[in-house]
Amino acid sequence: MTTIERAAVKDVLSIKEVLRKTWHDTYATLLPRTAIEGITARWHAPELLTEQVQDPDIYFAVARDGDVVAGVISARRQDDAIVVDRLYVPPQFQRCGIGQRLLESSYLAFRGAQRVRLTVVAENSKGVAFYTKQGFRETVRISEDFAGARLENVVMERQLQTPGDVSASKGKSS
Amino acid sequence: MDRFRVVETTDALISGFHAAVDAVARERRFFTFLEAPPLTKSEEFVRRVLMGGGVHLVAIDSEDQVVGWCDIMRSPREGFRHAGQFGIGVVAPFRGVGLGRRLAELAIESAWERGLERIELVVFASNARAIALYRRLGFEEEGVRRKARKLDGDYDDDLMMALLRKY
Repeated sequence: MTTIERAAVKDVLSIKEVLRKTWHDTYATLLPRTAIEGITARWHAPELLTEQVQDPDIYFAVARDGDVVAGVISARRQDDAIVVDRLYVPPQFQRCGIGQRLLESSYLAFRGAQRVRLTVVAENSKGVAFYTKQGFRETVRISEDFAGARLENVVMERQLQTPGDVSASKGKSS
Repeated sequence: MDRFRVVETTDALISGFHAAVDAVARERRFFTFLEAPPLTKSEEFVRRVLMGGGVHLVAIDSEDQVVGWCDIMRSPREGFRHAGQFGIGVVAPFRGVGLGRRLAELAIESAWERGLERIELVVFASNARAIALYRRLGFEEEGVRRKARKLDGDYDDDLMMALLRKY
């Protein structure tokens, strides 16, 4: 049984491991290994994650399967939108609905938001397919030369249902 | 759907960079200057940044219009060459799509690659959106200059923030 809970400081090292492994899994064919190591060491540093877990403006949650962290989400509010900064489910826990549950828990954490926005690498076709199924549509593409590789980031958005507008979740984002 | 590219600033893009700085400066909220310096100064600035081992990136749309930038100017002085001054901006219509964050993350990674160890910036305390981005990137507050600006009758504090390379 997997439960979704707010992340605690004691989870930081497990979270870091999930982020690191998922980065390797996702970017192995896109970026040089040394670049991935450097990025995960810096962006997923335990001090940084600890600060984010404790930050009252950030919704940081984990999916727990017993003692194991089976997924991670971090999100925040920006104007009328929820911005999902991370959503990671390790390969062995994928396709069990954990990603969807984590995502939906963030909608509840920021009630009143009208849209949800996130960025996914275009080549991460599993990710793009998952978000499309969750009602997200592509709004912007940003391509960049990164660590000697050309990466394309896709910004995706979905509307959230607001009272009196039940069709909003199916609506196309601007 | 909008498409953007983040690229190193070439000579051909400097006038676009200058126009973007001017547009943001004229909002009168974010910078210490209220309009861009003359174009020749912008040209000098970009060249000095790039020649000095710093980073200068712009975000351009599908017609090569500059919609945002991020630069890190390395100090030329002995004893301070491990440190760089960070600057960023996105023109108003293109805010809120994550361009600033992409620009900043790329510029910071690129600065570490070039051997920088410290990135510092000054931001007006009223600029909550920028401060939130800097915190997310790992910048920490180092000090405040109280009532540093008085513009149109309103005071604003200067917040000094810095990011240290840890790994």
